[in-house]
Amino acid sequence: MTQKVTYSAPDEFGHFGIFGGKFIPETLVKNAADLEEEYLKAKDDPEFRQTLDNLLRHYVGRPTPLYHALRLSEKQGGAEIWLKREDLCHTGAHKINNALGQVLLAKRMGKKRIIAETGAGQHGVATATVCALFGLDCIVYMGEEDIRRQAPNVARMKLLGAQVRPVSAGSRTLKDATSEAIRDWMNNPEETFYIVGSVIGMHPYPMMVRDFQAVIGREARQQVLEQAGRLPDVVVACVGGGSNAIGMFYEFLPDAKEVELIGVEAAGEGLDARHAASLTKGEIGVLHGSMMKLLQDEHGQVQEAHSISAGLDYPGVGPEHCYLQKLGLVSYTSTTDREALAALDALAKTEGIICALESAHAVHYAMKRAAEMPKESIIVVNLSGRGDKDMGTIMEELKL
Amino acid sequence: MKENRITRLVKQDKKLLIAYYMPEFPVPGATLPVLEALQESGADLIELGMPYSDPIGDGPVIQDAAHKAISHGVHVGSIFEMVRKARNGEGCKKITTPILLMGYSNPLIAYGGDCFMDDAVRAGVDGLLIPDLPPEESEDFLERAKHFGLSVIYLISPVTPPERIELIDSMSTDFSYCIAVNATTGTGKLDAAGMDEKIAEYLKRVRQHAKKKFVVGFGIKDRERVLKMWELSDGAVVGSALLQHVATATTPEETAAMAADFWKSLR
Repeated sequence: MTQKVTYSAPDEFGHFGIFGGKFIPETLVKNAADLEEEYLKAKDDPEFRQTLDNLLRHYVGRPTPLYHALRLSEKQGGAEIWLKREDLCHTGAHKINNALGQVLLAKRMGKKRIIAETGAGQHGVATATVCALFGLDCIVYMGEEDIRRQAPNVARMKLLGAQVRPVSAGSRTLKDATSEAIRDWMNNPEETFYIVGSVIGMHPYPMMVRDFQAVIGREARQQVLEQAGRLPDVVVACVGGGSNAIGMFYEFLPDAKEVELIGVEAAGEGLDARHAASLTKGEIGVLHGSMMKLLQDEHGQVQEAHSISAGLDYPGVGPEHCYLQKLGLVSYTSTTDREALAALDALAKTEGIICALESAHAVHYAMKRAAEMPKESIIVVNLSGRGDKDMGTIMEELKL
Repeated sequence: MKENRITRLVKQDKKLLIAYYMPEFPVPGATLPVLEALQESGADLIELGMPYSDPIGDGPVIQDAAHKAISHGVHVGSIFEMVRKARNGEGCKKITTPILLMGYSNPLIAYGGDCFMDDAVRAGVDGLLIPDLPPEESEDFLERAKHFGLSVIYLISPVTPPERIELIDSMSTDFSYCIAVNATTGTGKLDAAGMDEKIAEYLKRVRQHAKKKFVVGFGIKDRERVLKMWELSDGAVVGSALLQHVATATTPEETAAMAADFWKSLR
């Protein structure tokens, strides 16, 4: 039997090796500490677990299926491609797993005002949804450029009762929306709960968001054992900030000696042009309270990331991914805008599934790998979201 | 730790008036004339901003100033060069006022830790205030800074508990910097009703738990506020208001004249 990998991170200060931590102004130190204390209590509270599990089951629709994509696999002529259908979650992406966990925490802490940042709008929609569910005020910060690209999600958030605040600073995307949400939290530390949407930001967020998303891999691992009778050879997920990927990988980490874990970043227009591949091309730095690999210039100014998918358009990446890369437990590669679009098209035509542009990056890698692998091999792909929100971009790019 | 201009300044028995200025704001070439104007009109210490693209602790005024500075080509190395010139009196009168660099950790990391300290001292910098490097993340940083003879100033906020005020006070080499309100820089929060009592109570708490001096900043915009803060602490820091005052200047000379006018109005 293959040896299991022992993995435990972060340490008590939120460090994943040299990554992570709490690089925050003093005004936020107490907020972060209070949040950590409450989260650690809630995590071990059976009542909290049960409330969350019930909602995940009856409100979100978990467990999501693990689906053997027969026609797509056949088309590639190699390994079996299996899809973990997070696109079937209520609100259309994995983001709701985390938003629900955090809103329950906000309620426990008696906070009435919820803020969030969003890129593609999926996390904003998930947050607006759980706020509607619990009757809480919701303010979502979103870059002006993303508001333009993701108009349907903006309308959804408004319909759900949230206030969408446009952010005009910097690149007008996720990075700037995140900075603005952090500033809001500094200005309103007592009454506000900040629901961070990815495994980024200061401790305890990267750990907490991972824990809430780990349900993806927990289910997938069990499902593949039940349905295919064995562990997969490869597990793939796309990486922007990295929440769906960490959620998928976490429960597979002990198996990392026999299961290859692959994170796919956005290579945008190519790694020598505009892209969002922080793990592949970034340098160590600090953004939004955490040490991570970061796209930056020689003077330490953060550079604009680019991807066709708004959800991957972030110049940094979760600190745990940086650590997993360093440990060699996960390998990271990248997919271009063009390749992702082609994969999205192929998946739609062979399986009748329109996935999000983000997830299409992982699908592309899986298709490529499948073709090179023997038929009895198994690749599990995290299909993190559905593509409805991207129809505008898809229509433009595929000339529909 | 070796003596520097900041350690000498805090030994004096006087209330401090501290300026925060973002280099090359609003026009290229403004830094040296502004340093001279601030020194001549009575700034006790000058905090020089190191611009960063994503300043999470700053309100719109300093965000905008940082972006302008970056677009004017300001970076850590060019700031060192400006400080060196100021100390030598190249392009302005010799600047003898203590200079504290204030900025986020990323540009410093990109410059390279030890080189940063060494080059800062050589240029004539006296100390560092890195808002996103709280005590938990800065043990090595503090030791290295002390080794190079650089002062390190930490922040205290209204939500900092007493035992943590004691920790911060013990780590700050010369004085601590109290954030006046729970806010980003340059907000109007100090003007809110009931704020005077709140801030008095907060600074009394700091006085009880801090052995060293402490100054107050964030939202201090006029003489009235400066006098108030002098009553409650050992000094006042004025930043966003200064930048706002010079924002419309079109030449370095005009910037310096406006900075001097404003600074005199505070004294």
